[in-house]
Amino acid sequence: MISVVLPTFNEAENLERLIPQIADVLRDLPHEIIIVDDDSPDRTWQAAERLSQTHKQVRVLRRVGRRGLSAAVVEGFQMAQGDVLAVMDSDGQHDPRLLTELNRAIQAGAHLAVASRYIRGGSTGKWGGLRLLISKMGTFLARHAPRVTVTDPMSGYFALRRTMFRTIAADVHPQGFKILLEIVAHLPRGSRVAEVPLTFRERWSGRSKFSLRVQFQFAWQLLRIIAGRMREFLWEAQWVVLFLVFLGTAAVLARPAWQLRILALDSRVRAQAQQALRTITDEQGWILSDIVMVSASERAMRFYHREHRRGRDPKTCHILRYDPPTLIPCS
Amino acid sequence: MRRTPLVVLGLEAYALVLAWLQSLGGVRTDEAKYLLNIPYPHPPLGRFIFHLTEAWPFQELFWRVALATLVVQAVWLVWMMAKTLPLRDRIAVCGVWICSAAVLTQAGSIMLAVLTGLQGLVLVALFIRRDIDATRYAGWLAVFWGCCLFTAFQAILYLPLVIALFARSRVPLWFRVFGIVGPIVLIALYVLGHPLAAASFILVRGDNAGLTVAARLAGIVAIWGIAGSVWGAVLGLAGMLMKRAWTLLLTAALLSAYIVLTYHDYYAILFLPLIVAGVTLALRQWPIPATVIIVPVILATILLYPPLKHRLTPDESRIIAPALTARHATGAVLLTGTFGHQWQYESDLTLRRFRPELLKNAQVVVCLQACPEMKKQKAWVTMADMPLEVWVKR
Repeated sequence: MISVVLPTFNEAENLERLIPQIADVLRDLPHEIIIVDDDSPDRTWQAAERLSQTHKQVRVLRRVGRRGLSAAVVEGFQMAQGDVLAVMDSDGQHDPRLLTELNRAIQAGAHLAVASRYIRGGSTGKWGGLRLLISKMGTFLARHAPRVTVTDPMSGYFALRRTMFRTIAADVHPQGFKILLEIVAHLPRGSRVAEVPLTFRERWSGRSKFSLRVQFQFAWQLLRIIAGRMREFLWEAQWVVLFLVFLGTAAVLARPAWQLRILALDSRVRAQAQQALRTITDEQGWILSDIVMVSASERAMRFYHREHRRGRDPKTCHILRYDPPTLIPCS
Repeated sequence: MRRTPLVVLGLEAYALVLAWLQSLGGVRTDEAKYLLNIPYPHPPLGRFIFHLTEAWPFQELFWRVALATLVVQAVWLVWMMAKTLPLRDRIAVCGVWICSAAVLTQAGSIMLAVLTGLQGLVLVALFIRRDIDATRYAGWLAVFWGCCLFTAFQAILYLPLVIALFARSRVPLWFRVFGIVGPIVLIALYVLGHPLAAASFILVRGDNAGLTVAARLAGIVAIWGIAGSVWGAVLGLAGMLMKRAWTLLLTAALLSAYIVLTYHDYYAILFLPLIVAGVTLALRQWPIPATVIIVPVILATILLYPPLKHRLTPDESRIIAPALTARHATGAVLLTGTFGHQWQYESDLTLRRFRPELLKNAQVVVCLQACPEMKKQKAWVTMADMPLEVWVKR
């Protein structure tokens, strides 16, 4: 069965046209139509309830005190009983005939089927220059943020397997307008996505909800998705980073350890070196912590003396013979 | 959610006050070591980061504010750690952190013990929050563990926590062993390449060589008392014992054994993460009103502060060094007696330990202990208005 979720806000007039069209398109398929209304001032829910009396497949959910298209869709999905969950706009901009193609794509094995404006055969219809530009910019950014690529991640017309929705439901943030983007961002790697061409139509009646607030919500959603991808990358890269850090650090530390190995291995040389160093630092008035050893042999060691003055740290190289303690500059 | 920015701002104001209090005493010898990236006794990571700002005239203040902020705002980690507790209990646990004498006396100091304490808090928080899947972060834990060891040697005392966290993860065994042992191998390699680091570490850690057993045990009790402001420490220890938190207790035992070797007040901050974890465990077991926890902690902190607070006037180096620079002094400065690295930090001049043979090339002698032999030097006069006896060549 296919469950078609229609999120609505002030779409009473459009529903009267849309529901019979959907019912006609899906007449040969088991289906239900779930209208999720955000307590519209024009009483869309009442129009929906009237329609449910003539169309038995229609179910109505009126959300009082809750707003948001994405949240409405998620609630609709949660009450749906179909194996395939679809969502479309209620204002006539989405052709209901694509529902059969979306359903066919899911039945053929896709986890997600998207009606896309940006594949061959699709179009944005009669959008003006500014709206088209904003949409293309947003689509470009949104296309590269999630790990699964979809040509039109901002489409509001898509279908997915109920089992897939259940898998990702806990991770989906149902905020803002673009629920498909949220779903795509959480699809597991290897998910199969099918696309069908969509020609975006003119709204039948009513006003567009595409406001500045919606655009800010989209930008925030995108940032959140990008942050999630970076977090994923960091988790996946952790062992690579660990090995690289280990090898790099070991490579840097191995050389001084090798050059001073005699001090660790030979206690006699160590004692001689200690005594000689003590004698020389006393004579020179040096502080021991200003000495940095470089290399050591049985008879002598090479070291730097650093002044450790703030902002300036001149250093001088010396060779210290142990017995008798003799200091000579490095050649 | 709206209260969070206000709480953050309030905590930040507290951090700024603590940083200011620390700044009154000027740079201390250990702080100068880290600010100047002096290689001993600790490994390079923390001091390297401090020294990157050496050219900044406000280097000291910057790090005091940064570290005070880290210590105070670390209370959000404590908040996260106590997630399963009711709201009032969570506030009580956070109160133990914020109001402890360890935080009051250490936040704003530029000490590696502070960094190690914060690293310990991260480990403790991950340990307490068993719901956070250790498998997901096991690799980063190993990197973090390496960073802890390369910040200060005493981080090794948190090894039981690291082992417990890796044991919880479901990564293959050899990954876990590598994660625990790999960083230890690297730090051992560092010590082999810097033998003076090990020598100076062992030398300094033998500070308590002359103390009796009773004195050493008293030191352990004192450190616990400072860390948890007495009542917090009692509750924390009780919580760990009641819940049989063997990992936390083993870590506490290691830290206590370390205190036996070398006692410094500032090590109290190493114990504080364990104490807040213990308090969290105690509150899971017993319903204790938040005021019964926080009020005694605050009172104890107020009583502990006067004997523990650092000097509120700057070291003599901060007065003498600029005076020498103003005189356009050149040549070496000889210092008698034991002196700290703050002299290197404050002074632009070459410093040496006093030896009569070095007088001919020196311009200044600073007597940190009495130097009667200088009175016989006719070529030298004392500088007026100095807090110590300072001799300069005529």
